[in-house]
Amino acid sequence: MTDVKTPPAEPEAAAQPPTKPIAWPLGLAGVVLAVVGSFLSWSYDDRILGDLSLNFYPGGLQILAIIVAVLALILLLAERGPLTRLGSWLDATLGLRVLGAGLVLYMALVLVAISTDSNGLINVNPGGYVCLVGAVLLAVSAWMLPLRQLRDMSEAKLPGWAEILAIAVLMAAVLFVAAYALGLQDAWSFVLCLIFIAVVAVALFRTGTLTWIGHVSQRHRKVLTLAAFVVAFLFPFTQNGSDANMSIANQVLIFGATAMGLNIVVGLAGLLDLGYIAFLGAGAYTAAVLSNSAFATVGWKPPFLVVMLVGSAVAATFGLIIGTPTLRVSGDYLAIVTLGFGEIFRFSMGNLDGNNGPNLTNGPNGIPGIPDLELFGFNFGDEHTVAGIDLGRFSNYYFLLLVLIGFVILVFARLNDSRIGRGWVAIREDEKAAEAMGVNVFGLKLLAFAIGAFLAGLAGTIKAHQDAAVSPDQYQFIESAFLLAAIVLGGMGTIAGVLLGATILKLLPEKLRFFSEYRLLMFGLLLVLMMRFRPEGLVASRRRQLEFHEEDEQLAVAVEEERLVVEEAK
Amino acid sequence: MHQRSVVRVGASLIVASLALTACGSRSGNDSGGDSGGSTKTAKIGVIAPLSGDLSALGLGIQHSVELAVKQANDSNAIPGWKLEVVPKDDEAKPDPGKNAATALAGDADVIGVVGTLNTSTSQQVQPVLAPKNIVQVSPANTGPGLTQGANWQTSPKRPYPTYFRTCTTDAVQGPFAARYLYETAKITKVATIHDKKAYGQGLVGTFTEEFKKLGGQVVAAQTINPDDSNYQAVISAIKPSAPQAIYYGGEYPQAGPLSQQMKAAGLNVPLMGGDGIYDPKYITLAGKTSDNDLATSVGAPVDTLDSAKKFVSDYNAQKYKDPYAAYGGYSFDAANAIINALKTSLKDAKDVESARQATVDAMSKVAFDGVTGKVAFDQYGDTTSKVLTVYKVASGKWATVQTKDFETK
Amino acid sequence: MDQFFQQLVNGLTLGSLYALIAVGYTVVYGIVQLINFAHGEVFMIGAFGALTTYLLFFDGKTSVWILPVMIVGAMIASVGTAVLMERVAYRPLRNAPRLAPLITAIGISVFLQEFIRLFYERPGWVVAVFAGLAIALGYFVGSTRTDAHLNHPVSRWYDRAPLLGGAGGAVALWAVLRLSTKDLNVGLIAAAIVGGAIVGTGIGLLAGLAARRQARVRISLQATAASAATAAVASEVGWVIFKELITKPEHNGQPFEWPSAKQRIPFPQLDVVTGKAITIGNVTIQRSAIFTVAALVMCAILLWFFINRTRLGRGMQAVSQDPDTARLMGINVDRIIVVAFALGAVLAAIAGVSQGLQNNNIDFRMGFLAGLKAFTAAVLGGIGNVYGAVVGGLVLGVVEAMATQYIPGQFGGSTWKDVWAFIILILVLVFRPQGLLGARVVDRA
Repeated sequence: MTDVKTPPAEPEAAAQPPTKPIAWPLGLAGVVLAVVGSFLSWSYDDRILGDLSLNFYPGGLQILAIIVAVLALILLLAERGPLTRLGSWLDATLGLRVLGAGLVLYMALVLVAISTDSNGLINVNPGGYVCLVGAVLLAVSAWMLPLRQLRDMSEAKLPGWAEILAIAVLMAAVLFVAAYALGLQDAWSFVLCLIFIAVVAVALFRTGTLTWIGHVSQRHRKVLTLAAFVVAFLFPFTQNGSDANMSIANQVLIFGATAMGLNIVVGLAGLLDLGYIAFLGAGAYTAAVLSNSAFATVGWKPPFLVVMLVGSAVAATFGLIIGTPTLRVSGDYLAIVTLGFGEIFRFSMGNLDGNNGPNLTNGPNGIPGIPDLELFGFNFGDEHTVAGIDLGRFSNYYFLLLVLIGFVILVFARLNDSRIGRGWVAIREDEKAAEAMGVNVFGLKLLAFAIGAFLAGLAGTIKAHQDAAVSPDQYQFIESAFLLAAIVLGGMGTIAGVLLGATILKLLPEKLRFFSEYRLLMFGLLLVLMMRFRPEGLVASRRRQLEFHEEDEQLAVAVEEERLVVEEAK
Repeated sequence: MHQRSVVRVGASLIVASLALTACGSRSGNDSGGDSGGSTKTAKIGVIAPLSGDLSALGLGIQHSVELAVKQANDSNAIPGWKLEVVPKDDEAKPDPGKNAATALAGDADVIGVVGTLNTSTSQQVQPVLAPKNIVQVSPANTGPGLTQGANWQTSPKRPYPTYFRTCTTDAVQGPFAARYLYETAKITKVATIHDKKAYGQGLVGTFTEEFKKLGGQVVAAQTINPDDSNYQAVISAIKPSAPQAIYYGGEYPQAGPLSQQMKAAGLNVPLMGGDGIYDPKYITLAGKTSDNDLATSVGAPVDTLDSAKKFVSDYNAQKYKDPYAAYGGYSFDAANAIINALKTSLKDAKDVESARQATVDAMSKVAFDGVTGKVAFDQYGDTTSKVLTVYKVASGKWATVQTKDFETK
Repeated sequence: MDQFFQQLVNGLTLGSLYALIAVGYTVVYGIVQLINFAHGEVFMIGAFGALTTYLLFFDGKTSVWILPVMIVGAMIASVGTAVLMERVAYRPLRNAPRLAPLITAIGISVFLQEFIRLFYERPGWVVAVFAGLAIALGYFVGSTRTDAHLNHPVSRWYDRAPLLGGAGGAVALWAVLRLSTKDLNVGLIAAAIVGGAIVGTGIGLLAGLAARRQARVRISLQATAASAATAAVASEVGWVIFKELITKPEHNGQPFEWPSAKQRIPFPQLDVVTGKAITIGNVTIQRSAIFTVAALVMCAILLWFFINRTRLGRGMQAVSQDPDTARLMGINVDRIIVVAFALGAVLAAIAGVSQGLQNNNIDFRMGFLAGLKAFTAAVLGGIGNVYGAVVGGLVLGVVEAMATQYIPGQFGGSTWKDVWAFIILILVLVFRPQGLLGARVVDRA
C-alpha cells in the first residue's frame, strides 16, 4: 500500500529562488512598524471611525491591526526563533503572506475611509502611513520566505484538556470579535472589521490551524456536541431580559428547521422543490385555523399537541398530493410544478375568504390575534423569571424551537445513515441504475417529499403561534428561493452547512441595516456567483464536491488520500 | 468523516454566533442609551408604507408627524423631554407592519405610534402594541372593526383601549358615498368591485347596505386580486348588467388602471371610490379618460380650512421631498394628539415605560382644535367629527364637489 | 352564450401574450435543457426598454409612428440582457449538473427585478455600461488589426493583455477625467480622446511587457494604439450621450426626472393602438388586443421563415436534435445558442410592449407570473416545439378566460384565474407529458 505518511512533493520547492537572508529581519521590521504605527494616531478627525486620533490610546480599528501584527510576529518566530517547533506543524510562510497582503489591504482601506469620511487625504496622520509601510514590508518579506515541508497535521496531539481549552479559547475569541463587529454602527468600520475577520480566517486556514481544529473536534466529538447544545440552551439567559434578539433568534431557528426539512428533499433525495414554503404555510394556517383566535374559521379547538400532528399531517398530505403525479417526470418539471403549487397555495389562502370560496382563511388579511401556546399549564406568552433573569415571550418559544430543531436534525441524521438514505443517494446519482438495482425509486421519492413536508408542517404550527398571525403574503416564492439558497450556500446534504447557511441568510439582513435596500439585489448576485465558483456550498460534503467538479483530478486525488488517512486513523 | 468533525465545530460556531447577537445588543445599547444630560428622550413611532405603491401617502404621513414633533421640540412643549420620530416601513402589508410594530414595541423609549395607513395592516399591529400599552393613533384607518370589534354592526365592543384614530370610519364613508350617488347624482344602478382586503371589503359592504336601503340596485358585485394588472375579465363580467357607475373599494394602484381599462373597453361610466383612491397618482394612472371619476375622503379639504393654512405653509417651508398627500393633516393632528397627551403624562414621569399607561388614559381626554377640525375621541377611540368630502376629477386634477357633515339618519 | 365570444376574444388576447413569451422558454429548453427562469424578466426589461425609448425621444407625443421605434428600443434592451445572461452566467455552467443553472437562473431573475426597481430612476449605472462597451469595442477593433492568436487555449490572456491594457487604460483616464469635471466643451473632449489614446497605448505596451515574462507575446504598436484610440472615442461618445440625452434638461428648465420603478409606471398611450375599443355586436375588442394578436400572427410567420428557410434557423433545428453531430457538421453551436436566446428575447420584447399598451402601466413585478404561465403554455404545447409554444399559449389563454366565465359558484371569477394555469400544468404532466404537439428535446441519456 502506498505510504500515506509521505506528503506530496512540493513542485514549487524545486523552482524556489534561494532564501534571501534579508527576508526575516525585514518581516520583523514590518511587524514592529505596524505595531508602532497603530499606537500612533491615524486620523486628525476624531468623529469618524470610532476615534482614531489619540496617540498611545488605540481605538478599535487600531487594535485590530495590532492583533494582525502580533499574529504575524508569532508566525515569524515560528519560522526562526523560539517557536520553530510550532513552525514544523504550521505553514508559517503562507500564513504570513496572507497576513501581509491582508494588512496592506486593510490599511489601504483605512486610508480611503479616512479620506472619504473627512474630506481628504490630508486628514490622515503619520501613524496611518507608518502602519501601511510596515504592512508592505511584511508582505514583501513574506513573499521572499521559503516554503517548507510540513508534518502531517493529523499527528499533532496535545493532552485532551489542552485541546478542549484551545477550542474554547478560539470560540470565545470568535464570540468577542463578532460581538464587536455587530455592535458597530458605522458602515466603514463594519466593512473593515469584516476584512479583519476574513484575513485572520484565511490566515488560519492557510497555516493549517483550521485543519488541526477539525482533527481535534473529531477526537472530542461528544463533548463538543454537548457543549453546543448547552450553549444554545443558555443563550436566552445572556440577554438581560431584552427580547429583541430572541425574536430574531426564533426566526433563525424556524428558518433553519424548515431548511433542514428541505435539505432532506433537495440535499438527500436530489428533488428540486421550489414551492416548499407552501408546506410551512399549510402547517401554519392549520394551526391558525384551529386556534383560539377571534378570526379563526373552524369551530374545533383541540389541544396544541393534536394541532401539531394535524398540521404536519395536512402538510404531508399536500406533499403526497403534489408528489404523486409529478415525481414520475423529470427534475426540471418538478421544479416548475412545485413552484406552481406554491403559488396555488398562496392564491388559495388569499381567496378562501367567503367571497371566492368557503371562508377558511379569512382572505388577504390573514388570521391575526393568534393567542399564545399553553402546554401543560405553561403559558408561552407570560414572562417567567428563572434564576433572577426575566425570560420574555420570545425566549419561551426559543426553547420549544430548540427542541424542534433538535428533533429535525435527529430525523435527518438517522435518515442519512439508513438504507433509505443510501437509496436516495443512488437515485440522486443515477436513477435508471438505481431502479435496475431494485431500489423503489418512486416510493422513495414520495417518502422524501412526505417527510420533508411533515417536518415543515411541524415547524409551521409553532411559527403560527410565535408570529401571532398568519397572512398569505408570508408565503411567497421568494421565501422558497431563500430556503433553497440557504441549503445551496451552506452545503447541500450536510447538517452544519445548512444551519450555517440558514443563519447567514436570516441573520445578516437583520443586522446589516444599511444594506437593507439592496438586500435582494445582493441575494440574486450571491446565488449567481456561488453557483459559478463554489456550487457545493461553504461546508462541502465531499461527495458533492466531486459531483460538481467532475473534471478536477487534483480534487479526486485529495479526497482519496483523505479517505485513506481516516481509514488508517480508525 | 471530515464532514462530521465540521459538523461539531460548525454546530458550536453556529450557536456561538447566535450568542454573539446577545453581546452585539449589549454594545449596541450603549451607543443608543445616553441622550445628553438633563433632557430625556421619548420616541414617537410612525408605521406607514414608506416604499412601494402607496408610498406617496405614507411619506406624507411621516413628514407631517416630523413637522409636529419639530414644532413641539422647538417650542419646548414638554419641558425636560425631547421628542424623536422613528419611522418604520410597513410596505402596506400586514407582515412587515407586524415586524415594524414588534421592533417599536421592543424599544423602551417609544411612547406612542402614529399609524397605520391600511386597515389590514393595523389588524396585525394592534395586538403587538396594545400589550405594551403603547398608544396608537391612526390618521387613515377607516375599517370600523378596529375600534368597535369584529361585530361592530350588531354589538360594538372596543377591542383595544390603546387604539385611536383621527379620521372617520367606513361605517360613515360608505353610506355617505351611497347617498351622494343616489340623491345627488341620481344614479340607481351600481356595480361594486373590491380587492378583498379589510378596507375595500368593509367599504363596499357599508356602501351596498346603505345604497339598497335608499332604493338603489347593486347589479353586480365582483372582486379583483390586488396583484393583478389586467382587469378585462371583471370588466367583461360586469358590462352586460349595464351599471351607471362602479363603486370600487381599494387603493389607487389598482383603481387607476381599472378606470382606464374600463373606459377603453367601452364601459364608459364614472368610477367612484373611497379615500384610498384620492391621490394625484390615481389620475396619472387612470389617464385622460378619468374625468368625472369620483372619490370621497375623510374631512374637509385641507387647504380650505383656516386652521390648515398654517399647516400647509409650515409644511412647505420645511421643503420635504414629498407632499403631505391625503393624510398629512390627519397625521399632524394625530401627532399633536399624542403630544397633548404627553404634556400630562410625561410631566412627572421618570422614564418612558412607566408613562405609557398614563398616556393612554390622557388620550381619551384630549380635545383641541386641529388642522382638520376639532380633535377629540369618543368611547371607542373614534374621532368625534364626521365631516366628509366628495371630489371629482376635472381636467387632470381633483376638484371639490361637496363637503358635508354626515348626519346619522 | 352571449359572453362566449367576448371571453374568446379575451382569451385569445391573453393567450397571444403567453405565446410570445413561451417561444423564448421553449427554444432555450429545446437546445440547452435549461428552464430560463429569468425569461420573464427579459420580458419585463423589454417593456422598460420601450418606455425608456419613449421617454428619451418622444416624451409627450402619441403618434402611432413612435410604436416601431419603441419596439426597436424594447428589442435592444431585451436582446442585450438575454445575450449578456447567456455569456456571463449560463455558458460557464454548460456542463454542470442541472441544479446549478436553475439556481443561477433564479438568482438572475431576482437580481434583474431588484436592479430595475432600484436603479431605473438613477441612470448613473448607464455610464458604467458605456465604459464596459467602450473597452469591448476597443478590444474588438484592436483584435482586427493584429495578427497574434488571441484565442490560443494556453496563452490567450497573455496575448490579449496589450489590447485590453490599451482599451482599459484609455477608459481609466477618461473615468478619472470625468469624475473631476463633467463639462462638455470641445477642448475637453479632444483632450480626453487624445490623452486617452496616448495613455492607453502606454499602458497596453506595459501590460504586454509584463505578460512577456510568462509567455511569448507579440506586441503590435498599431493594434494597441487602435484599441486605445477606439476605446477613448467610444467612452467620450458615451459620455456625450449620457449628458445630452439621458440627463437632459426638459424644455421648461427642470432637469429630467426618470420615473421611479418602485411603483407602477404609466405606459404611453399611443393613438391607433389604444383608445376607444371596437364593438362588433356584443363583443368589445380592444385596440391593443388587435395589436397583440396581429403581432403574434406576424411573428409566427416570420418565425416559420426563420426556422425553415435560413441557415441559422436550420442550424437551430440541428442543434436541438443532436448538438454533437451538429458540431461535427460544422455548425457553431455556441453561436446558435446565443441566437436562440436572442430570438426568445425579441418576441418577449414585443410581448412587453403589448402588455404595456393593454394594461396601461408597467411594473417591475410583471415578469414573474407571466413567465410562469408562459412556461406552462410551453409545456402544454410540447416543450422544445416552437409551434407548440404558440398553440399552447393560445389554448392556455382561452381556457383561463373560459374558466373565469363558466365555472359556477364561488370558484369562478377572475380571482382564481391564475390557479387554473397551474392546475392545467399538473394535468398535462400527468396525462400527456409530451404536450399537445409533441416535445422536441435532445435526449440527454
